[in-house]
Amino acid sequence: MTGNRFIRRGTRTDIEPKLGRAFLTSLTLHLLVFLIFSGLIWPNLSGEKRPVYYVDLVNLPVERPQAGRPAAAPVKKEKPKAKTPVVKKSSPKVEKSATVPVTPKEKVPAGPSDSEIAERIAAMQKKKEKRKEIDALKEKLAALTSQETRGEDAVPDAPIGMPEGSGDQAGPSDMAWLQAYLKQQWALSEYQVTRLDLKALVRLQYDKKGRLTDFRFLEKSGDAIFDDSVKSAILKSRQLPLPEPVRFREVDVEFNLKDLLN
Amino acid sequence: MDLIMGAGPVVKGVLLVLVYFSVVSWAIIFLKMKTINRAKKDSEAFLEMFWSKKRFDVVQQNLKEFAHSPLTVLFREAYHELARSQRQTDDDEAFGIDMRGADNVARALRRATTQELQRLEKFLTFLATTGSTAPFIGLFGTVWGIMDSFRSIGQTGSASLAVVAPGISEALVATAIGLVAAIPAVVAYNHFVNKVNLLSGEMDNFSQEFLNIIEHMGRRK
Repeated sequence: MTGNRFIRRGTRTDIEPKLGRAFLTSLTLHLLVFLIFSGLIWPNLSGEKRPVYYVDLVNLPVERPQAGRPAAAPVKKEKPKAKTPVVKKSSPKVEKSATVPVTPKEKVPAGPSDSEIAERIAAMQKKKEKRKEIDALKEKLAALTSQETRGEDAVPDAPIGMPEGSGDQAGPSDMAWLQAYLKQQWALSEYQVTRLDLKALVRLQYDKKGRLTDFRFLEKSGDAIFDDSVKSAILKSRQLPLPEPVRFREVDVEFNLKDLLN
Repeated sequence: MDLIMGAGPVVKGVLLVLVYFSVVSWAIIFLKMKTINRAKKDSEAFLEMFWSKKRFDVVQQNLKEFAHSPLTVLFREAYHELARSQRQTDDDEAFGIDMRGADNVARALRRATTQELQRLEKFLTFLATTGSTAPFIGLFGTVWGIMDSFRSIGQTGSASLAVVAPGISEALVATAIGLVAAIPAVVAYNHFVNKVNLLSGEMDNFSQEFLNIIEHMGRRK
């Protein structure tokens, strides 16, 4: 009897599939899944980017909105509690700094002429004005830093416009306004539809007076209830509350259920 | 992607471990799928061939065509053992050949069955380990992430959603990936164990049939 009888040689190892190859396949698969879901190959799979509309229906829409925010006229939010201590702190400093340099200078002129005195007074007045300006700026800065900004507009005094606006007119973009107006007229519950990723593209035609003259679906959602709700929203807003003449005549509007539910 | 990059070092470590578990699990799944499918296919073909032939030496000559079947190994081992017993019996005719030869073949068959089962079940324990531990590892990452997130709440002094939500969502990624690693591993483990059990049954049946044939042969002599 030669060798260990319990070890069978050459029976399996040659035909047995190797783990290394399977490991490489698995690694490739994982990398592919990662690339797909990270959005590096197809950005759409990483999550649909929903459009954000900043629209204030109070301000009339304009064709070329300027940079700013579409909210109504800037709301001045006064917070005296935050402002007052800052002002109190800064005011005595101003008085001190204003008075301290003046007193030694008043003692110095013993025999200068009237013209020199007048020049000095003028220079002092200029200095005083500059200090006042600096104090006012300091006050503003202190008030801004002490303000609670969460949940409020970041820049309350921003001009009326659109965040991405590059035009020269004050007011929200007319396209964004129309989208928001139509959305306001649109009513549909998520329980009425079977899917949440429904959307439809509609071409709307208006006349000068802002009356709807025609509309047709460029893309239907495939859900009859959804399409009916879009149709009723369009018909409900057949007269736009805009002054004549209305600029846009033919507009393609996308009705997205996710936007509505948001 | 942002969720993973924004996670803390401990959560990232946990994610790495889970990715390792997942990659190795899938490698084993691919490997076993190939091995077991081939074994099943070749076994069916071998049995067909085995019952169609009337002589063991003819069957022995065709074994190479069914190399992936565990039954071919059983047959080869039994055949060699039978040949050895017969040689010994020819040398020493004083002993009865039948029962001693059959016992030897039965032992050879049992040994071959055990060895083949070990081969078929190789790496399956890793799938079971992944299935049972990956969710807990993920949970550990989540708990750690939530602890971090609560610490940041304490530091900022704000319990608003803006402070709490990102930390918790980053932490929950660990549990999600733990489940992603564990679910296929558990499903594959159960599937392969079932297939191996079927093959084991086939091997047992074949062993019994083979022993029966030997006994019949012995009686005829």
